[in-house]
Amino acid sequence: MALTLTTITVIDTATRDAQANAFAALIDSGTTQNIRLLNRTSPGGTTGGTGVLVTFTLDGTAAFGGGSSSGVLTLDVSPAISATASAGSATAVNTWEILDDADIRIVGTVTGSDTITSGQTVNLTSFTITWPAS
Amino acid sequence: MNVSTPAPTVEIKYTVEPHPDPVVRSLIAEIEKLRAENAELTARLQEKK
Repeated sequence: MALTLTTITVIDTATRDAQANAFAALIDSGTTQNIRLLNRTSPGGTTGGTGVLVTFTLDGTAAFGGGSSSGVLTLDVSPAISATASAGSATAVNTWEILDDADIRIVGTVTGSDTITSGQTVNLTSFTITWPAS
Repeated sequence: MNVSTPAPTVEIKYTVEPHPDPVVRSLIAEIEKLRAENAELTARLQEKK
């Protein structure tokens, strides 16, 4: 009997919500929760570059409000989430990460032409994570 | 049997306000202008190679 790498064709809504809510619970379980914008040597990487440009502090108990809906976690941005950049000299943002203090972290890339300089105010207006249906 | 789970996708939106110091604002503009010129010159150099 052959061992075969298979492609998932359906992940139903309840399963996606369970995956999403599990991640939300992990983030909320930490003492601190942050979303960071960074400059890395390789976009989406975890080392090198200027590093952390700005750190947003999330709600310590329910960062994603009411939890997942159809596999989508939507960050609660009311009240508004803003922060002052701690580093950068017209430095390109090429990486984001969401993490807590317990080594829970997801990292991804940022595309766009925005740059950040230390001292600028940065407003986080929207952040969603979508678990796919297939 | 091996199964790979599809990765979630993320959308992040943010806005950057102008720097409060006008001197720094002008320096940022100058840096971005020089970077754009550098990128253009680099592209032209690559074409010549």
